[in-house]
Amino acid sequence: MLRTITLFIAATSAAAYAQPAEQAEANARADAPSWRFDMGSSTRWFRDPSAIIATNDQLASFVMSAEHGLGTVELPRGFALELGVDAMWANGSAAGSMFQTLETNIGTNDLLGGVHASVRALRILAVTARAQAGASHVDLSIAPSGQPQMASVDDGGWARTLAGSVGAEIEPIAMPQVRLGFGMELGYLATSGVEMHASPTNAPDPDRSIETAYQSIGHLDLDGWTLRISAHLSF
Amino acid sequence: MRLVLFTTLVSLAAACSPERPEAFDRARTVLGPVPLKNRIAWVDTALDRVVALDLTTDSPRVVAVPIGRNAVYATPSADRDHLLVITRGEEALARGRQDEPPRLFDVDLTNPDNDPVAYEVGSPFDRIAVSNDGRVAVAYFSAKGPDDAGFFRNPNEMAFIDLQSQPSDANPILKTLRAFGSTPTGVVLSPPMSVPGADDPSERTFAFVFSHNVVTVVDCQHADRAEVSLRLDATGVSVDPQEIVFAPASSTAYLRSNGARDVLQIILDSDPPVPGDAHANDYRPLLAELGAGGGPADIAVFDDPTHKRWVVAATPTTSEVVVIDTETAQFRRVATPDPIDRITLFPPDEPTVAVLSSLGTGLPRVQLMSLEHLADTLQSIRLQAIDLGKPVRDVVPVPGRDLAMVVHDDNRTVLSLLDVTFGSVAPLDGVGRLDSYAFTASGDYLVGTTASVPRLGFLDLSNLHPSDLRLDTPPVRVLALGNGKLVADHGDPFGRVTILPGAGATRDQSIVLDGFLLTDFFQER
Repeated sequence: MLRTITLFIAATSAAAYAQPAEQAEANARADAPSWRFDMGSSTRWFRDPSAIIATNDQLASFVMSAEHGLGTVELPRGFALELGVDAMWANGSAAGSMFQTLETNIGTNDLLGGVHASVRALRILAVTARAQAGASHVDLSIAPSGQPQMASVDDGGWARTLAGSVGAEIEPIAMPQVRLGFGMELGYLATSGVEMHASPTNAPDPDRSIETAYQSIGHLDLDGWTLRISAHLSF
Repeated sequence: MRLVLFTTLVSLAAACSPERPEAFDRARTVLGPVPLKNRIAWVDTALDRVVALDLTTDSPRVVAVPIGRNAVYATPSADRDHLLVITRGEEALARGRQDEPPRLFDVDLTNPDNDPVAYEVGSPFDRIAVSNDGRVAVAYFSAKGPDDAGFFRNPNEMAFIDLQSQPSDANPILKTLRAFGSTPTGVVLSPPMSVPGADDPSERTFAFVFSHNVVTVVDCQHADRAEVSLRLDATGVSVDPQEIVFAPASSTAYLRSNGARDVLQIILDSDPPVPGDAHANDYRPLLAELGAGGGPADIAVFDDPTHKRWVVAATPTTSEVVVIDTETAQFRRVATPDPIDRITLFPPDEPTVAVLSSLGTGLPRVQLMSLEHLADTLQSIRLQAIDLGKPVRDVVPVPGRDLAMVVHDDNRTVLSLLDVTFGSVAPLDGVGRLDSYAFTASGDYLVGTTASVPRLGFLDLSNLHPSDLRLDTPPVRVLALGNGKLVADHGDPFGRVTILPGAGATRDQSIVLDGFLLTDFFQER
């Protein structure tokens, strides 16, 4: 991870000292692609103690998003702000252990939508910012080591989610109708806590069992810093 | 350049996550369940907390009370509303941490919001004896002694705790008992007794500490005073004290020991202390041997309706039961056809019948011995043999009834109920081993479980009608609470119990509570 960050910083720094954009680029903005698809991975470092109790690992997610351009706003000094609305889906998981005998697994499915803004600093370099809101389905299981089917806690729930990030993108292929590149975003994702209950995997059929109350084990809150690395195609 | 700086700062922020609480990486064991009056408590040794199931109302309530590190032993208080827990503490292994000393926590589960009272007991004791008035607790080492931690170990050390007072320099009092090469094997606390003739007429609790060849007596209300050691091997015979029963009205204890031929009577008598000696006692023990004459295997003490105190001692080597008048030390020998080693009195508060059984030989019969008219030496003591048809392995009195549950095999698969009034026997057949059983608080029902069978079995003791309730999972233990509720514990490490409002309840009236040992798990800090 550190190596990736270093390389990215070096690349963006080098690009930042390149020649200014051509005037012709300004003309090309009018023909900027209106659709964009992203695919990549995200890592989340949990900040809330409840998540750190469940796992001492990071949440690794697969991320896909689609974006539709809203237009371009001219800025001073010849820069232009490109705006778009996006919809994102991310599927993540984190594994851990506790009490030396139990395995824990956190699973997430994030459904987020928001706005994406980017400013092209150079011909192939853009600085971006993203703000999103949505919902996340959070799953938790706690099971004896090697026996996930015997989980004593197997519960999930929906959480409200807010996310914001800033980053940079490099587009080695930046033609008027098609752009292909990759980027990195650092941000923070805040979620509301999800109340988890000690409902086991093999919970008996409610119609055939004694009325059962599954004790609340508290709220699981998956707030954390995020690092997203993705490739994108715009057309 | 600004971009580089910004990116670096955010990367560092991302790398900084709070540390995980150490508790979640520890090995976890659960002590309990410990049945209290209307609650059941467990101790979580990883999360360092007591979790109690409060069943005083219709809706079960789960409370968690934090305690110290490394809980090793838990026992209920005398009133069964508090839980006493010894924690071993922890040695600081990293800079910034602090050593945590061994402590005894008095957890008031009727007021779980109150912080438990923590007494620093000095050593990592693993047993507690509590007086039946709830005023005194004695923490001591079990026969296996201290654990492996530490450098020097002193198995004869004890902590005397005044549970009515707050912790202070003088509470608890740590005391190392005088030893004669042996270590304690048990501690029994007397009921409150006043020493006749002493300047201090208040009732006190005396600790009787058993060790090989020695019984040591400590006045728990004045634990700073000297202990009194009673050597039992004066005749050169090796003696191990086994059992002690008390007659508190006369400040007397009766001791049965392996290797001793007779019952030792210990009377605590006034003995004014030497002036100026702050550690002198105001009592002395007077010893007398009550002639059992054959190495008693069991003893029982009771008062007859005329308030005369009797000791009944069973001596299997001579196949006799000896009835001793404690006022005169006169005794009557009753020849028994069997080597009796267990005496069970019925009813326990004002006994009229003793059930005599020979558990060691497993004979298929018991003897009923009348306890009436013992003082009339012209009247013989009547024995009635009851043939049970199967070996007798245990005799358990049923609370509040003239019934005894007789266990016929080591696996407790064959039982019978003996009515001591009529001498009748009702055999009981079960589906398997009776792994756990309880009598309801009213004494109306016997409730039993078998580990492999997901059922609770009920036996109505008024008419011996059997019934059962199907559970969803096999129980490990059944517990009867003071308010009549029954709890089947399923032995789940995260907590799973089936709660019944009472014996004979249906499935619709019952409720399962799952995962309560994880309550507020994510909010633990």
